[in-house]
Amino acid sequence: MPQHATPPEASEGKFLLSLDSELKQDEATITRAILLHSLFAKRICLTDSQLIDSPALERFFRRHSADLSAEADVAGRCGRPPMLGSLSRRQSDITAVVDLMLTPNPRTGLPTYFSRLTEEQNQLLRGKIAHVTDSDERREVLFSLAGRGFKGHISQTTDYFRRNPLSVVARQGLR
Amino acid sequence: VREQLTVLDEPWNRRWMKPIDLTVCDEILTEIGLNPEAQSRERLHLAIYGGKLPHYYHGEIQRSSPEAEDTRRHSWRHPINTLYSFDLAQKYSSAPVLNSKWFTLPDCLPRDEMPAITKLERVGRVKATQIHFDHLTVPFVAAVRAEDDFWASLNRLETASVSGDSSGYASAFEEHLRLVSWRFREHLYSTGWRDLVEESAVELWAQMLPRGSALSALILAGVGQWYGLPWQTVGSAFLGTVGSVGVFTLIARGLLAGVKVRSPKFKAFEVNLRKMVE
Repeated sequence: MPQHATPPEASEGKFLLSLDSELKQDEATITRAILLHSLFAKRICLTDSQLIDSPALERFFRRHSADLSAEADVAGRCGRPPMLGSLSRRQSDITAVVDLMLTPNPRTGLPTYFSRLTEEQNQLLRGKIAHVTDSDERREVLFSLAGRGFKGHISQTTDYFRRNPLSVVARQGLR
Repeated sequence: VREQLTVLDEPWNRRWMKPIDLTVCDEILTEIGLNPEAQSRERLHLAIYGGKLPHYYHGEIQRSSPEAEDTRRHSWRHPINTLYSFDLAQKYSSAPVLNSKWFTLPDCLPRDEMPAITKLERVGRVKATQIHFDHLTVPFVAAVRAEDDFWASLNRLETASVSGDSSGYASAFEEHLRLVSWRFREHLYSTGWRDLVEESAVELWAQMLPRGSALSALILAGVGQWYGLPWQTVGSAFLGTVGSVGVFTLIARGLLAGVKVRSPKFKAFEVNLRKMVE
């Protein structure tokens, strides 16, 4: 067997390619994928864009909110990771992820494009927050366009990841 | 992405690529080279389309042009997304999982005349209770994950996955499959669905792919479709990284109730990237 300079690490969990925000998703498929792979992995690892832009994932969180929270609590007490993990740039703070995405990119001067919104909604969002510097105000503009359910989703996911510190997966080299 | 496309940019690959594919490949590499540190998928997308980026909404491309060149450019988008996702997953030590019918192996990659380079091989067979999705619930999964046995078995599986020993990985997978299967059987009994308890022979099929090449990533993303696996196989294809050998795909055939998996096509997995791995 060829030798590695550094031995490979065990997986922190599964990364579901089907949660890509540019792929057509349905809740049943996402639910099955999450549940089945949760039986074969430490956790299901979720990225910023999956958490923000996947309507199917949002529905999964909403529908199973109580059960997911209970599982995260039990796992936390046992020192184990919960079913769902965060690969987020802001760890467990998904509200901060939204703020990051709404902050104009220094190169383009524009916030991140949200594929959960239509093109028209994205244009509207960009126009409305162009001169807004307060992050709370920016967020409210987004919530007003994306629907109030989205605001609940953001707070729910933040609450979920904060329940169990082992939900957060650190990037390699940053541990 | 740059690493993968640089390989694609080798002369023996460039000679079969269409002019528009060459242009797209060059533009992506140029864009990455302008600022390698500022990693953003949108930058890659802009390079693909030459700055005129169509967006997605609910999985549908918006305002796409029907012109041949634009269609050709568009075929690069999901492969680039896949490479980007594989890289992101690796940065967080997580394993990309094939579970989608939505991915399309782009037509800029396969070529008919190339010989097969990969094969699925049967590596094991285990008796297991079939999983019925209608009864696969969050509380059930939570209950299984709360058990010490589950974590002991999972740890053995994880250890095997980095050992470089594919047969050891297959054995550990079999053991874990038995545990999950047994728990699901108990779950069906305890919830009054004993009629659904059905033992079947689950076959484990494996595919070893070269390590660290675009080929691995793209084939893994497209393998389900290529082998005729229906979308319901979501979750029946489990991927693990087997040490330094390569990427190891394990498909548990027959695990999911009501899911018919057609026989794998052994003879052909024709992708015009063979020389990239030689």
